Amino acid sequence: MSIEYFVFMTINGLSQGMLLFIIASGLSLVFGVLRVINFAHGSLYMIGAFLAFSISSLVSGGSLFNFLLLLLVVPPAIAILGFILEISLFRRVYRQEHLLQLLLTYALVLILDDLVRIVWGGNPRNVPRPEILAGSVDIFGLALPTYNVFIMFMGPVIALGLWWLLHRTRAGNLIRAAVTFPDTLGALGVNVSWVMTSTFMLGCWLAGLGGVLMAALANIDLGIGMEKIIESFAVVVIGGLGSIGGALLGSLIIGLGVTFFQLPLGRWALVFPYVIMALVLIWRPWGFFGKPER
Amino acid sequence: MRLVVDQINTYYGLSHILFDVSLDVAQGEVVVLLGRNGAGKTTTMRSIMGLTPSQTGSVTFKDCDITKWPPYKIARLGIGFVPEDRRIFPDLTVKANLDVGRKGKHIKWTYERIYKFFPKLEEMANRPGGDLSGGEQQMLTISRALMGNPDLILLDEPSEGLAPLVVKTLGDFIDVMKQEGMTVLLSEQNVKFALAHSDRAYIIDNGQIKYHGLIEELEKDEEVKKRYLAVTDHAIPTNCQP
Repeated sequence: MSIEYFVFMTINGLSQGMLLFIIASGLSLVFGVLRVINFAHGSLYMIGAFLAFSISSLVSGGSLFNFLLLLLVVPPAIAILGFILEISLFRRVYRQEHLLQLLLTYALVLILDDLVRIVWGGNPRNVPRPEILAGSVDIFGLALPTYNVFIMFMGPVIALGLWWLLHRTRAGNLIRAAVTFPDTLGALGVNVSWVMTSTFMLGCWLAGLGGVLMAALANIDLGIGMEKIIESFAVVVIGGLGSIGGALLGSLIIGLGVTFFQLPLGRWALVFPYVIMALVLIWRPWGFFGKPER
Repeated sequence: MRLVVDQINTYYGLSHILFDVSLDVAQGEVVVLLGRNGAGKTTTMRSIMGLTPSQTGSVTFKDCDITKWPPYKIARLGIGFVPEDRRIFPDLTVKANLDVGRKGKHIKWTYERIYKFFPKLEEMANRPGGDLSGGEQQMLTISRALMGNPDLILLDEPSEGLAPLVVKTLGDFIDVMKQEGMTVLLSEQNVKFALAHSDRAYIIDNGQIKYHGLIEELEKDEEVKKRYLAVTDHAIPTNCQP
């Protein structure tokens, strides 16, 4: 294995991992506060990707302005969709049995995925990269795709932003308080329903952001939602549900692992997330950064 | 600004916990609700706060019928709640715990004032709330409720599990709150502590109010104290012992 190959695969794996982190951190955050595993998170990400495709074909062209427009418009649009879903459906299943919650979110997967099929059809699509990100950059004498490097840096930016929001703002204090004792938070005068809705919207915003970034990274089709929800689920199991740091670690493990095993193992690389997930569940069922259930 | 609890009946699922409980607290009073474990003190507090709303009867505060209000609206109307199990947010710093209790602008209780009363909280301001000792956690819970500038504060068994010296600090602070013109409803098992800091007392037993009166009257009433508050009452019959 040459050093060039190693660097190339590492950059590729890191960018895959960071994209996965952006999506999985949303899933993890929502679970932390709402205690619902939203399997429709992948579908929301897919809608984000297809929405990005539609808008980009409307404004036609791969200018930086158009790409920024997508980043500015699509994630909030998915957050608004999340708002509608939260107040109309999710709100009804908090504190219900897991089975009911699973039924709701899985039904949403089926409905949303079919809606995507009806609206956008089954053909693979993509969004042109803006020129400034379309070429390659020279790192260690290797020509690496600029866009992958861009995503690789987006991950830490989002991670830092989330950390800052959760640990340095009042909104973050309220979110973290709602994770432990929602009733107590309510008795202190905080409208906890609103904290939950906002957190859900933030999670959906992250899914939408992942969708835009994905649409310019590779071809998007009807399978991307399912693929990412499975990987995201593995990520939160590995890192610990509700932990942002854990989501970062889990995403890097899955991203690098899948990338490195792709060449020698081909399709068998797909079992990698499951194997890691199973090992973590045996050794530390609450994940690297999670806490055992009280 | 008066709290009136009028004949409330509260259930946990199918079990009937409170039976026609009535009590009232006037502005500036410190009133204690005395009773043994499981007598219904916490349920009374939770019913007032809207955490386990009563099925019948009413709770009125500042002339508003708050019986079926959600807890956050009751809190915003001016009631602060200090739960029995304290419920400090363990992952949040001490300062963040206080911040969570803040409702908009600081009017009366600020970080500076809280830190003046409890210097330990300032020392530990950037440490996780879970690192505090039991006594420090109790001070933090009270301070967290005060950050919302309540007119009435509900203290559910604040002295429980605290060292005697901490209980004294707590008692002094209750006196401070009274001087500030705050209204306090306290629930206690520690009779001596409760009587030293309150104006009036109610006694609850088996979910019913059995007695109410001024502290001076209760102190003289050995019969009532013995019947409802003595711990040694329930001797286990010898034939029941294994």
